[in-house]
Amino acid sequence: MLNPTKNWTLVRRILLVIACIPLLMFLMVVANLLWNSRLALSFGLPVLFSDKISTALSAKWIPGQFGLLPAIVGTIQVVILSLLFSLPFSLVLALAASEYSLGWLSRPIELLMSIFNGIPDILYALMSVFVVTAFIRPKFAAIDLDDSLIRTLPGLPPYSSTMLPLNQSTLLGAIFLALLIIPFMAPLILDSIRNVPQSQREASISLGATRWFTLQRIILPGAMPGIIGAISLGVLKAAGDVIICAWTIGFIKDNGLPNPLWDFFERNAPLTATGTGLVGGLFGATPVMGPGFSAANFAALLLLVFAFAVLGLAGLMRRWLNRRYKA
Amino acid sequence: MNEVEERSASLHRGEQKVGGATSALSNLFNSIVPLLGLAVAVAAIMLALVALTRNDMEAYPVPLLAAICVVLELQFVDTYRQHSRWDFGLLIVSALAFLLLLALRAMPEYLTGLQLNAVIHRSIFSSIFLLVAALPTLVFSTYYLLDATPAAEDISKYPLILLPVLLIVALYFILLWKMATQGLQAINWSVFITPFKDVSFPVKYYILGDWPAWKTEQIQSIGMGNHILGTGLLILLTSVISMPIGVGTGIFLSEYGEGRLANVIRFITSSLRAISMLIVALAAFSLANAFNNTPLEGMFRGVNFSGWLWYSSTGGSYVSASLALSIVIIPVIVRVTEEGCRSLPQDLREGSLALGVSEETTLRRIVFPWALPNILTGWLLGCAEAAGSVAVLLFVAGRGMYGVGLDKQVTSLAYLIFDIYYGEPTFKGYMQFYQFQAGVLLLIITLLLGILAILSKDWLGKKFRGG
Repeated sequence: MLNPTKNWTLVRRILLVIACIPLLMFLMVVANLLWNSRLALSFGLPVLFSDKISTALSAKWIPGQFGLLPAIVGTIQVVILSLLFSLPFSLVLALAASEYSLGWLSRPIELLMSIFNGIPDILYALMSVFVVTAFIRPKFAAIDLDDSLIRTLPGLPPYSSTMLPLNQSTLLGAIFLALLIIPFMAPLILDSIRNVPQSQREASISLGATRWFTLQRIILPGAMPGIIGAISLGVLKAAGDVIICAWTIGFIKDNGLPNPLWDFFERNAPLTATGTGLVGGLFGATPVMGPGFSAANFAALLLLVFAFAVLGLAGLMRRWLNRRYKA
Repeated sequence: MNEVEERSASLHRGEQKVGGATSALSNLFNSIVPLLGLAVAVAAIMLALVALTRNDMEAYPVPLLAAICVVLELQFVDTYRQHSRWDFGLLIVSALAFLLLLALRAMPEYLTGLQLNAVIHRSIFSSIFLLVAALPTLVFSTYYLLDATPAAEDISKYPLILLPVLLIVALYFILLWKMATQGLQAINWSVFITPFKDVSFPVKYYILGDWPAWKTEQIQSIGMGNHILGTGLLILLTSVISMPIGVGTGIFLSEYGEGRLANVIRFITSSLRAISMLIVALAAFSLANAFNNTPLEGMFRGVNFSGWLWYSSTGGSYVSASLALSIVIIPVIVRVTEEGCRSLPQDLREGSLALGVSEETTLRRIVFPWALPNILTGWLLGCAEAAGSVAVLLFVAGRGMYGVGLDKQVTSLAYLIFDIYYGEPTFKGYMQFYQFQAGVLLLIITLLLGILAILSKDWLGKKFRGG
């Protein structure tokens, strides 16, 4: 803090003007979303929250159907699944770098995490083909059975030639979103674990508690506000990612809600991928500023609202936990 | 007889030696069961990991689960023999292993049902079951191998922490390694300098009757030269736009960051990091189309050459793409700059002001140099992000067929990878072979920038701030 008084020197004014630019950018982005989604809003919310969506790429294109409900279900699915995969690993990475570090392990883990965090999402998407061939195909797609045998298996949905879409499914998307957010969440969790006061640790050990007990009862509760913050940012990163979702899940799910609702072997495209597909501009085509574009803007608006809801909720929870921890 | 004599006499008789041997033998005897458990658990974990990628290991999980079951019961008896207590945790895990064994025996090889859209192989369940049974066995065996002391309880938890770390880091390395080998196995260097072209250009003008006419020719060349140049231009332009704004905002938030407006700016810049890329992509598309039918149209939409005239492209230019990208990158630079400025001791600022130095000079000579390593780190991270960002370019990018420049249609290496996957079939046919090559190049660029960022934070930080 250079000068806490309200002395408005020239340099301070210039810096204030510069600092207003990000704010202005944010406001312009939000205004752009609102302005562009006015056409979608004129369809009415029942249309936008129905499960009927049609895509220009599908054979049966019925104009005017922009139901985003399957996309919302897809976002929830993929976020929950990727959090399920990534949270244990990022927690364990943070613990291995701080509490169970063996002395020398802490620095390499930190460096590896910051390097993996810099790998862009397109490369994770590019790597998905290896997981498809090594894991998804042999385990979930019955790749070495012939069709007649698959047809005799009980309990399958009506037969289709590709029971599990071989290179795209929500499961695959969740695996790679988890790989994307593990190196993002682990350093944040590590910071929050390091911020637990050393004195509490020492007090617990000196009272005869084991390190494992200290971890359970002292460190994790103390770091919980930070862990909640890390989880919220990880959720937003997973929910906001376009490329991995579009590559490993697909663009638009146009056959209604998944059945059962938690079926993560289908291509349940999340909001980001659906918005991308609605704009078009893929397959070398021209992006069109039509109703699809407007619906995509509405999907982005939903994501924005979701982001602020998650941030606000995480802030509230953090405040509550802090109060409880101090009391 | 004094003590020394007694000891030497006993040594002479060889009692000590024999006693030592028996105690070692009894130690070995006491640790047979834990060692057995350790061996079984390690074998089970290795089998589980192998079975995650192979379907032909189905003969082994059931015997291993049975072995885990038996070993845990043996350990239960052995614990009573050695420590005189019943450890019912062992029995519970043993029973769990037995139940898992029964479930695995009852399972058909291919599972279906619940209208799920997949035919699930049994081995995925056998891997999970083996891990569930083997990890507690590993912990218990280590605990009893080390004589069940409190220290042993801590050490026995190491596998629980270190095994997942090893697994996940190995997964990253395997994936990166496979991508690198795939990209480098048939590397074609000329692709890096050749621009991609698949366009008809006029090659010869002539007069046909009263009218000018031209003979066109389809010009094709396969490569990613313009994509690489475009990545460079994108990085350059984005840093030119976002560095002053980011650094200025960071210094403002750190040095004058009190009051309601500053808090709002801080909140907005931190939440800009968390917004979806789709929002930024739509902003880029709107920005590219914001100046339609004005003189600025060409600058923002990008121009293409159709053979005889330049016309607006369907996407956006490097200018609009960089402006949209800076929405993503400014928050990174702001955060890092603010961190750097905040780490400056307050004494230095006050000392400078007390010597009569103006605020401006203090900022320029004290605060800015102090934050310089952080600013450099933020810049490098921002460059890496700009190089790897595809989503922002998704609605505006083209294929760089008409050159690279401020008002040409934007393209980048990262977009090329996505374009090869989802582009039209002819483009895919031309470029599919070079997808992993482009991926490896992008990986090298981003890793280089990331490692430089780490180095600049560590080394320059030490150099500038005296350790």
